[in-house]
Amino acid sequence: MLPPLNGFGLKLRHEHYQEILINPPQLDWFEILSEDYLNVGGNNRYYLEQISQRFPIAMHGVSLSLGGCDPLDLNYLTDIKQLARDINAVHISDHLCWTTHNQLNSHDLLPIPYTAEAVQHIAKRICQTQDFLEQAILVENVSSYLNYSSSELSEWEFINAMLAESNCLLLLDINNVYVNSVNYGFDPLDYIRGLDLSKVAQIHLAGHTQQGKYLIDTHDAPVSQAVWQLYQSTLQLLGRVPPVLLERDDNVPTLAELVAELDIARSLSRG
Amino acid sequence: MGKLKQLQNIFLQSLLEPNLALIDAIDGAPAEKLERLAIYQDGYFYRLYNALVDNFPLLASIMYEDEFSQLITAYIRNYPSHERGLQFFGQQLPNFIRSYYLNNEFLYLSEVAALDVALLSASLAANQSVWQFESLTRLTEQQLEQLNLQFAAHVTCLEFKYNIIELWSSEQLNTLDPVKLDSTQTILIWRKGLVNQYRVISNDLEQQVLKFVLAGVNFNAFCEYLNVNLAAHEEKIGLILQQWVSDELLLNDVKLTNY
Repeated sequence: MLPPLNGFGLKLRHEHYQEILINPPQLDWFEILSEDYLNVGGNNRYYLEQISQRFPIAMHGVSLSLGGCDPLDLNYLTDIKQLARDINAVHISDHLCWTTHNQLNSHDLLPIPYTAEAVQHIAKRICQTQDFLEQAILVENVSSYLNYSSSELSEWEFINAMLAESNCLLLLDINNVYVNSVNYGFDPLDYIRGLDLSKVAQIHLAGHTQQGKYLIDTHDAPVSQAVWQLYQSTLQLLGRVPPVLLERDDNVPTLAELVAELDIARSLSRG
Repeated sequence: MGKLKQLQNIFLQSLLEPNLALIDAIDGAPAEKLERLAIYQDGYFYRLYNALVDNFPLLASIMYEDEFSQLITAYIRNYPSHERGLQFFGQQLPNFIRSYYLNNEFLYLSEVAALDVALLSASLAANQSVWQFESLTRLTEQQLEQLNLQFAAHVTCLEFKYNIIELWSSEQLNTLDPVKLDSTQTILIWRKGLVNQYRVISNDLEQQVLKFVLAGVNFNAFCEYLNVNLAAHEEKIGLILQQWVSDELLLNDVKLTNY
């Protein structure tokens, strides 16, 4: 069981720390990039502690390397567990990808082949992670730019198998589904319809950038019209509104602008 | 896991030193495979490149743009990241600069880079308990004897052979020329509360005490050293330690339950 989390949230940005405390925005929760706050003091830690006393915080990491072949980093997991306790985090999530190999960090969410071998490998690591953290984690589908010739399953078939084998929950990133649909030429609604939607515990929305004939998941622009449409269709298929988060990592606008964009997500959820 | 490990090995190598070894494993037409792989290769490089631009603002502002770009490009190829977060990437850049430039006249760049690392470290270092006057007065004599004299993680001591502090203090870093100093300058950089601080240690006595503490000693050994070598300066040393406590430099590693 996860602690309850409802409503609409924003990714916490250092540009907005002071404003959040002085003039708390009309939103329900914040998400943090876990790595920005692990073993870190000073401003980041100070403001996180202050903000976590006023808003629920979800932790979103990029370093678990669930698809990787290095042993799980127990020091990292220990730090994640400690931070989650310190700020009373409501969700802990990471990505369906690999990031490190031979202790080298690519600092990217690298794709995994959609094979039966990879399902077993990742599910085992998710179970180990959940046992260590003593709670279910959320795993996010990622944007990707290449698929492997060895893949045996579609991405959504792979995700379903992973969810069934590991008992984790799905952080469904609608922008990533759309980006992949363009990059690989499939219907994004086929992807959504193909998923086990009962496992969706959180939704992410973000902007992307066109680069040649590919879309890149840059989080540097407002949510595109196509992604808003896919979001609406997804909510209809879900029949409920999970916690929804708007991410922005570059070209960060004012807090008011982000709250206004989040309000679009809120109004679309009303049907 | 064997196939997965092999695939990831090839993938990572193709990022570290861009090559086409992964091409056969990628689905799609030949030209498309190259485009798709290039997205990851470019993404890897520019993510690290931008991190170094962010983490070394002083170095970036003192160097010509193309020289800085060449330097950090070489660093990325030589020092792939083992860091969890990009905010810590570049810790070895000061060392790398010393081997990158064969001409000694560029050594000041290593000192500028070290200043960037120290300032970032002061901002980001994990919060630790530091000695306050009140907590020191509550120590028993036995605890005082066993007390370790060490700096907290946010404190860095740097030694500059060039006028780095003068360059840093000027409004435009690149308007002054680097000049080699007559003698080495010792700088302490730390965080007090949420704000970074620095101080040039010009007092010989403080430099001596600083070196002693950096070597890692307990308070008892410090007092013995003091009695033998610096007895005449006891009062001044007391003032130095008071300043350090006031500046929140000294790590308090005594468990509260011991009080």
